[in-house]
Amino acid sequence: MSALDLTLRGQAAAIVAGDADPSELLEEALERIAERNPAINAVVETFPGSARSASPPPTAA
Amino acid sequence: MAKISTTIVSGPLCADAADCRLLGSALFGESLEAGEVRSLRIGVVRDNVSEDVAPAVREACQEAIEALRAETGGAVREIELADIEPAALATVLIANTEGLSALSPRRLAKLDPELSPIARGFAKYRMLLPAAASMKAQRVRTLMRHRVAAVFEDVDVIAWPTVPAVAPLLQAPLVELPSGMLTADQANVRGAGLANLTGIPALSVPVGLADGLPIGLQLQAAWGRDELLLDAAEALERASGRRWVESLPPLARQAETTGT
Repeated sequence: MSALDLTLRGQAAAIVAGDADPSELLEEALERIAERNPAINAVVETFPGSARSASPPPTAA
Repeated sequence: MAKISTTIVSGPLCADAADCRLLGSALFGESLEAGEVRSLRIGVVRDNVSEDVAPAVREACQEAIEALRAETGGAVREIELADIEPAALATVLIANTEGLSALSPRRLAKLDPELSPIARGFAKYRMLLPAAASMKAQRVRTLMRHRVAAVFEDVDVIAWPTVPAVAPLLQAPLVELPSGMLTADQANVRGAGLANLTGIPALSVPVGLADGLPIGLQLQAAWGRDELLLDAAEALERASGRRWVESLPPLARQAETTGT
Protein backbone atom coordinates (compact mmCIF):
# COMPACT_ATOMS: atom_id res chain seq x y z
CA MET A 1 0.00 0.00 0.00
CA SER A 2 1.24 3.46 -0.86
CA ALA A 3 1.62 6.09 1.85
CA LEU A 4 -0.86 8.05 -0.24
CA ASP A 5 -3.58 5.63 0.84
CA LEU A 6 -3.05 6.47 4.49
CA THR A 7 -5.03 9.14 6.29
CA LEU A 8 -3.41 12.57 6.57
CA ARG A 9 -2.43 11.67 10.14
CA GLY A 10 -0.86 8.47 8.83
CA GLN A 11 1.01 10.34 6.12
CA ALA A 12 2.27 12.91 8.60
CA ALA A 13 3.45 10.17 10.92
CA ALA A 14 5.19 8.39 8.04
CA ILE A 15 7.00 11.60 7.08
CA VAL A 16 8.07 12.24 10.68
CA ALA A 17 9.30 8.66 10.95
CA GLY A 18 11.26 9.03 7.71
CA ASP A 19 9.18 6.37 5.99
CA ALA A 20 7.75 8.79 3.41
CA ASP A 21 9.06 11.82 1.57
CA PRO A 22 6.68 14.82 1.24
CA SER A 23 7.84 15.68 -2.29
CA GLU A 24 7.39 12.12 -3.45
CA LEU A 25 3.97 12.03 -1.84
CA LEU A 26 3.04 15.20 -3.69
CA GLU A 27 4.17 13.81 -7.06
CA GLU A 28 2.33 10.58 -6.38
CA ALA A 29 -0.84 12.50 -5.50
CA LEU A 30 -0.64 14.55 -8.71
CA GLU A 31 -0.09 11.40 -10.76
CA ARG A 32 -3.05 9.69 -9.17
CA ILE A 33 -5.31 12.67 -9.81
CA ALA A 34 -4.24 12.66 -13.46
CA GLU A 35 -4.92 8.92 -13.68
CA ARG A 36 -8.29 8.78 -11.98
CA ASN A 37 -9.95 12.12 -12.30
CA PRO A 38 -11.15 11.55 -15.88
CA ALA A 39 -13.39 8.77 -14.53
CA ILE A 40 -14.73 10.49 -11.43
CA ASN A 41 -14.49 14.20 -12.31
CA ALA A 42 -13.87 15.13 -8.66
CA VAL A 43 -10.92 17.52 -8.86
CA VAL A 44 -11.64 20.82 -10.54
CA GLU A 45 -8.12 22.22 -10.59
CA THR A 46 -4.67 21.39 -9.32
CA PHE A 47 -1.85 23.79 -8.57
CA PRO A 48 1.27 21.69 -9.13
CA GLY A 49 3.61 24.67 -9.43
CA SER A 50 2.75 26.29 -6.13
CA ALA A 51 2.48 22.90 -4.44
CA ARG A 52 5.96 21.97 -5.57
CA SER A 53 7.41 25.29 -4.51
CA ALA A 54 5.85 24.88 -1.05
CA SER A 55 7.19 21.37 -0.73
CA PRO A 56 10.69 20.75 0.65
CA PRO A 57 13.18 19.29 -1.81
CA PRO A 58 13.42 15.49 -1.85
CA THR A 59 15.68 14.11 0.77
CA ALA A 60 18.79 12.32 -0.40
CA ALA A 61 18.48 8.55 -0.21
CA MET B 1 -14.49 38.02 -10.15
CA ALA B 2 -14.58 38.89 -6.50
CA LYS B 3 -11.93 37.15 -4.46
CA ILE B 4 -14.08 36.95 -1.36
CA SER B 5 -17.48 35.33 -1.07
CA THR B 6 -19.73 35.40 1.97
CA THR B 7 -21.53 32.27 0.84
CA ILE B 8 -18.77 30.04 -0.50
CA VAL B 9 -15.98 29.27 1.93
CA SER B 10 -13.13 26.82 1.45
CA GLY B 11 -12.98 23.87 3.80
CA PRO B 12 -11.20 20.56 4.13
CA LEU B 13 -12.31 17.51 2.13
CA CYS B 14 -10.71 14.49 3.75
CA ALA B 15 -10.96 10.77 4.37
CA ASP B 16 -12.44 11.21 7.83
CA ALA B 17 -13.30 13.73 10.52
CA ALA B 18 -9.93 13.54 12.26
CA ASP B 19 -8.18 14.42 9.01
CA CYS B 20 -10.65 17.28 8.52
CA ARG B 21 -9.70 18.51 11.97
CA LEU B 22 -6.02 18.43 11.05
CA LEU B 23 -6.40 20.10 7.66
CA GLY B 24 -9.05 22.50 8.97
CA SER B 25 -6.66 23.64 11.70
CA ALA B 26 -4.10 24.45 9.01
CA LEU B 27 -6.64 26.18 6.74
CA PHE B 28 -8.25 28.28 9.47
CA GLY B 29 -5.01 29.02 11.30
CA GLU B 30 -6.25 27.84 14.66
CA SER B 31 -6.20 24.51 16.40
CA LEU B 32 -9.49 22.61 16.33
CA GLU B 33 -9.26 20.61 19.53
CA ALA B 34 -10.83 17.18 19.86
CA GLY B 35 -13.36 16.56 22.59
CA GLU B 36 -15.87 13.99 23.70
CA VAL B 37 -19.42 14.86 22.77
CA ARG B 38 -22.04 13.79 25.26
CA SER B 39 -25.82 14.19 25.42
CA LEU B 40 -25.91 15.64 21.92
CA ARG B 41 -29.18 17.36 21.12
CA ILE B 42 -29.86 16.58 17.47
CA GLY B 43 -32.42 18.69 15.66
CA VAL B 44 -34.31 17.28 12.67
CA VAL B 45 -36.59 19.25 10.39
CA ARG B 46 -39.72 17.53 9.18
CA ASP B 47 -41.56 19.48 6.53
CA ASN B 48 -42.53 19.04 2.89
CA VAL B 49 -39.21 20.33 1.57
CA SER B 50 -36.74 18.67 3.91
CA GLU B 51 -38.67 15.38 3.78
CA ASP B 52 -38.59 15.38 -0.02
CA VAL B 53 -35.69 12.95 -0.11
CA ALA B 54 -34.96 9.79 -2.11
CA PRO B 55 -35.98 6.74 -0.03
CA ALA B 56 -32.49 5.21 0.17
CA VAL B 57 -31.01 8.52 1.31
CA ARG B 58 -33.74 9.04 3.87
CA GLU B 59 -33.25 5.54 5.31
CA ALA B 60 -29.47 5.84 5.56
CA CYS B 61 -29.68 9.27 7.20
CA GLN B 62 -32.34 8.21 9.69
CA GLU B 63 -30.22 5.22 10.64
CA ALA B 64 -27.18 7.46 11.07
CA ILE B 65 -29.07 9.98 13.20
CA GLU B 66 -30.22 7.19 15.50
CA ALA B 67 -26.66 5.82 15.67
CA LEU B 68 -25.33 9.28 16.55
CA ARG B 69 -27.96 9.70 19.23
CA ALA B 70 -27.12 6.34 20.77
CA GLU B 71 -23.34 6.90 20.59
CA THR B 72 -23.56 10.26 22.36
CA GLY B 73 -26.35 9.38 24.77
CA GLY B 74 -28.23 12.25 23.21
CA ALA B 75 -31.72 13.04 22.04
CA VAL B 76 -33.41 13.74 18.72
CA ARG B 77 -35.73 16.71 18.67
CA GLU B 78 -38.03 17.85 15.92
CA ILE B 79 -37.42 21.49 15.09
CA GLU B 80 -39.16 24.04 12.92
CA LEU B 81 -37.22 25.88 10.29
CA ALA B 82 -39.65 27.55 7.93
CA ASP B 83 -38.92 28.88 4.45
CA ILE B 84 -36.14 26.48 3.50
CA GLU B 85 -36.98 26.88 -0.18
CA PRO B 86 -36.84 30.71 -0.27
CA ALA B 87 -33.64 30.44 1.75
CA ALA B 88 -32.15 28.19 -0.91
CA LEU B 89 -33.11 30.68 -3.60
CA ALA B 90 -31.57 33.52 -1.58
CA THR B 91 -28.37 31.51 -1.20
CA VAL B 92 -28.07 30.99 -4.94
CA LEU B 93 -28.92 34.59 -5.68
CA ILE B 94 -26.37 36.02 -3.25
CA ALA B 95 -23.69 33.57 -4.38
CA ASN B 96 -24.28 34.58 -7.98
CA THR B 97 -24.33 38.32 -7.44
CA GLU B 98 -21.39 38.68 -5.06
CA GLY B 99 -18.86 38.60 -7.85
CA LEU B 100 -20.63 41.16 -9.99
CA SER B 101 -18.69 44.12 -8.65
CA ALA B 102 -15.66 42.75 -10.44
CA LEU B 103 -17.53 41.87 -13.62
CA SER B 104 -17.83 44.40 -16.44
CA PRO B 105 -18.90 44.18 -20.08
CA ARG B 106 -15.23 44.67 -20.96
CA ARG B 107 -14.19 41.70 -18.86
CA LEU B 108 -17.05 39.66 -20.23
CA ALA B 109 -15.77 40.33 -23.73
CA LYS B 110 -12.39 39.00 -22.70
CA LEU B 111 -13.62 35.70 -21.32
CA ASP B 112 -11.48 32.73 -22.22
CA PRO B 113 -12.64 31.56 -25.66
CA GLU B 114 -12.46 28.01 -24.36
CA LEU B 115 -15.13 28.76 -21.76
CA SER B 116 -18.24 26.73 -22.55
CA PRO B 117 -21.24 28.52 -24.07
CA ILE B 118 -23.24 27.68 -20.91
CA ALA B 119 -20.64 29.23 -18.61
CA ARG B 120 -20.40 32.26 -20.90
CA GLY B 121 -24.18 32.64 -20.95
CA PHE B 122 -24.37 32.23 -17.19
CA ALA B 123 -21.82 34.99 -16.63
CA LYS B 124 -23.88 37.34 -18.80
CA TYR B 125 -27.13 36.29 -17.15
CA ARG B 126 -25.76 37.30 -13.76
CA MET B 127 -25.29 40.84 -15.05
CA LEU B 128 -29.06 41.01 -15.63
CA LEU B 129 -30.12 40.13 -12.10
CA PRO B 130 -32.03 43.07 -10.59
CA ALA B 131 -30.57 44.78 -7.55
CA ALA B 132 -33.96 44.58 -5.81
CA ALA B 133 -33.80 40.79 -5.90
CA SER B 134 -30.39 40.90 -4.27
CA MET B 135 -31.70 43.14 -1.50
CA LYS B 136 -34.62 40.79 -0.88
CA ALA B 137 -32.19 37.89 -0.68
CA GLN B 138 -30.24 39.75 2.00
CA ARG B 139 -33.46 40.21 3.98
CA VAL B 140 -34.10 36.48 3.76
CA ARG B 141 -30.55 35.91 4.98
CA THR B 142 -31.13 38.08 8.04
CA LEU B 143 -34.42 36.34 8.76
CA MET B 144 -32.83 32.89 8.50
CA ARG B 145 -29.96 33.92 10.76
CA HIS B 146 -32.46 34.86 13.45
CA ARG B 147 -34.32 31.59 12.97
CA VAL B 148 -31.16 29.50 13.07
CA ALA B 149 -29.97 31.29 16.21
CA ALA B 150 -33.30 30.44 17.88
CA VAL B 151 -32.99 26.79 16.80
CA PHE B 152 -29.53 26.50 18.35
CA GLU B 153 -30.90 27.52 21.71
CA ASP B 154 -32.68 24.16 21.76
CA VAL B 155 -30.36 21.83 19.87
CA ASP B 156 -26.61 21.41 19.37
CA VAL B 157 -26.73 20.27 15.77
CA ILE B 158 -29.15 20.13 12.88
CA ALA B 159 -28.97 16.83 10.98
CA TRP B 160 -30.37 16.18 7.52
CA PRO B 161 -29.26 14.66 4.23
CA THR B 162 -26.39 16.60 2.68
CA VAL B 163 -28.19 16.30 -0.65
CA PRO B 164 -31.59 14.68 -1.19
CA ALA B 165 -30.41 12.09 -3.72
CA VAL B 166 -27.14 10.54 -4.78
CA ALA B 167 -25.16 12.21 -7.54
CA PRO B 168 -26.77 12.00 -10.99
CA LEU B 169 -24.88 11.30 -14.18
CA LEU B 170 -23.09 14.27 -15.70
CA GLN B 171 -25.00 13.68 -18.93
CA ALA B 172 -28.36 13.98 -17.14
CA PRO B 173 -27.99 16.08 -13.96
CA LEU B 174 -31.49 15.37 -12.64
CA VAL B 175 -32.50 13.74 -9.37
CA GLU B 176 -35.68 11.81 -8.70
CA LEU B 177 -37.41 12.81 -5.48
CA PRO B 178 -40.83 11.89 -4.10
CA SER B 179 -42.13 15.23 -5.44
CA GLY B 180 -40.78 14.49 -8.94
CA MET B 181 -37.69 15.19 -10.99
CA LEU B 182 -35.56 18.21 -10.11
CA THR B 183 -32.26 19.49 -11.37
CA ALA B 184 -29.51 18.47 -8.95
CA ASP B 185 -28.45 22.10 -8.57
CA GLN B 186 -31.96 23.04 -7.45
CA ALA B 187 -32.31 20.15 -5.02
CA ASN B 188 -28.84 20.19 -3.55
CA VAL B 189 -28.95 23.64 -2.00
CA ARG B 190 -32.07 22.99 0.08
CA GLY B 191 -30.43 21.88 3.32
CA ALA B 192 -26.76 22.49 2.67
CA GLY B 193 -27.40 26.02 1.42
CA LEU B 194 -28.56 27.09 4.86
CA ALA B 195 -24.96 27.03 6.08
CA ASN B 196 -23.79 29.05 3.07
CA LEU B 197 -26.52 31.59 3.65
CA THR B 198 -26.22 32.01 7.40
CA GLY B 199 -22.50 31.34 7.88
CA ILE B 200 -22.91 28.47 10.33
CA PRO B 201 -20.34 25.66 10.14
CA ALA B 202 -21.39 22.41 8.50
CA LEU B 203 -19.89 19.11 7.50
CA SER B 204 -20.96 16.01 5.67
CA VAL B 205 -20.31 12.51 6.99
CA PRO B 206 -20.57 9.46 4.73
CA VAL B 207 -23.37 7.23 6.01
CA GLY B 208 -24.13 4.79 3.22
CA LEU B 209 -24.20 3.91 -0.45
CA ALA B 210 -27.11 3.83 -2.89
CA ASP B 211 -26.66 2.58 -6.43
CA GLY B 212 -22.97 2.43 -5.59
CA LEU B 213 -22.81 6.15 -4.84
CA PRO B 214 -22.15 7.78 -1.47
CA ILE B 215 -24.83 9.19 0.82
CA GLY B 216 -23.91 11.94 3.27
CA LEU B 217 -25.48 13.17 6.49
CA GLN B 218 -25.02 16.88 6.95
CA LEU B 219 -24.44 18.21 10.44
CA GLN B 220 -24.70 21.93 11.09
CA ALA B 221 -23.96 23.75 14.33
CA ALA B 222 -24.06 27.27 15.69
CA TRP B 223 -21.45 29.84 14.70
CA GLY B 224 -18.03 29.02 16.14
CA ARG B 225 -18.89 25.44 17.08
CA ASP B 226 -16.71 23.80 14.44
CA GLU B 227 -15.04 21.61 17.06
CA LEU B 228 -18.38 20.24 18.23
CA LEU B 229 -19.23 19.30 14.64
CA LEU B 230 -15.96 17.41 14.25
CA ASP B 231 -16.51 15.67 17.60
CA ALA B 232 -20.01 14.67 16.48
CA ALA B 233 -18.70 13.44 13.14
CA GLU B 234 -16.08 11.31 14.90
CA ALA B 235 -18.78 9.93 17.19
CA LEU B 236 -20.83 8.98 14.13
CA GLU B 237 -17.82 7.31 12.52
CA ARG B 238 -17.26 5.32 15.73
CA ALA B 239 -20.91 4.35 15.86
CA SER B 240 -20.70 2.75 12.42
CA GLY B 241 -17.33 1.13 13.12
CA ARG B 242 -15.87 3.49 10.49
CA ARG B 243 -17.72 1.41 7.90
CA TRP B 244 -18.62 4.25 5.58
CA VAL B 245 -15.51 6.40 5.83
CA GLU B 246 -13.48 3.36 4.85
CA SER B 247 -15.82 2.03 2.20
CA LEU B 248 -14.88 2.61 -1.40
CA PRO B 249 -17.71 3.26 -3.86
CA PRO B 250 -17.58 0.75 -6.74
CA LEU B 251 -16.68 3.51 -9.20
CA ALA B 252 -13.61 4.45 -7.16
CA ARG B 253 -12.72 0.79 -6.67
CA GLN B 254 -12.89 0.30 -10.41
CA ALA B 255 -10.62 3.30 -10.94
CA GLU B 256 -8.22 1.88 -8.35
CA THR B 257 -8.13 -1.48 -10.12
CA THR B 258 -7.78 -0.23 -13.66
CA GLY B 259 -5.89 2.97 -12.92
CA THR B 260 -8.42 4.92 -14.98
